Amino acid sequence: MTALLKTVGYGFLIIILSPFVVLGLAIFAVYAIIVYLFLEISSLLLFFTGKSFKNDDMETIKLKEIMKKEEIYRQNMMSQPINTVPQYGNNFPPQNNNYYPPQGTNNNYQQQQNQENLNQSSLFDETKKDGDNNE
Amino acid sequence: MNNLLIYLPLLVQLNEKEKKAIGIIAIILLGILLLLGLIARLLLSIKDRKGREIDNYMYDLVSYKIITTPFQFRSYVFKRETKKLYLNNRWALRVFILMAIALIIYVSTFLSGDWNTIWKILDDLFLEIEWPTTKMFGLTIISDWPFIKTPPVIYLTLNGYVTYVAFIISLWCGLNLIGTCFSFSAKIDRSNKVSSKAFGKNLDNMGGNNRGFQ
Repeated sequence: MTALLKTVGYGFLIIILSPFVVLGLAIFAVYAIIVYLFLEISSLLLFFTGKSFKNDDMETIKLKEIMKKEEIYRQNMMSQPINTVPQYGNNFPPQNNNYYPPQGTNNNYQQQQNQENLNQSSLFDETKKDGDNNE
Repeated sequence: MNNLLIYLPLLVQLNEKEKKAIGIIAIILLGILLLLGLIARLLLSIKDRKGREIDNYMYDLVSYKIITTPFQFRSYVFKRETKKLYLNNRWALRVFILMAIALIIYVSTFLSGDWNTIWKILDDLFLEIEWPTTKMFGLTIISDWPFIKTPPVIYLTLNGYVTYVAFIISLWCGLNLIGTCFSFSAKIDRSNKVSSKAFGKNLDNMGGNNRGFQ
């Protein structure tokens, strides 16, 4: 019943608003014809210069560049070898910090770090049981 | 109040025929309102569906912060949809212009500029109906179903074919123009409504996985 009354209400509404809707559509139609005349002449001129309206605008070009960069980044992340990605398993977060400073900075620290790693058990040691602490 | 008191005895004295006529008119009016209401609902659903097409390209532009203000949002949609309006209309308008030029050349050459022949052929294409009326409560109202006064006449002559082809092409161009303008107005309307919401902070949409502007 509510739907029926709502439909009848829409009927009243369309009777009242139809002149305004027709006027609005007429204005848009006139705008469409003006746009057509203007862009038809522009497209003829663009045709002779080798360009086209179908080319992407600046915003779409920017978007495509960003999405392309994102795709390349994602592909790079996927194609990286597995060994470089730490497999933590149940030992996350790791207790020792395997931070290696960039080459050429504080050689003593690097040597010290390497010595520490030789003494400690490796995170990739398969004989290690779950739940053991890494020191 | 005095007028109502004058007409009140008339209401009591309605005969069966008048009561039937009032009933039929009420049912016809209700039917017309229902039909118009269904058309309105259909048009509103088409308008909503056409309007949501802007979400397909605007969502990424807003997400990647290429468009950052409501003004930029509205002006970009307007620019892009104006281009689309031209691309959707161009062939219909080109055909219409060519048809109009051909018709003008035909009428000037073969009919010596006599446009009345074309208008008569077009006028005779449509049937003429007459509604029987009756006077009730001082008003002239419809009393029965309409009857055909003049049936349509089809002219199987060269002038007739030319007129009918021109009419069909004009009808197709007109309907195409109305359709594209309706679609254009729906998208502009949606961009106006959504442009401020797209950049506003709304806790209602937090945590959801919905694409598109609410």
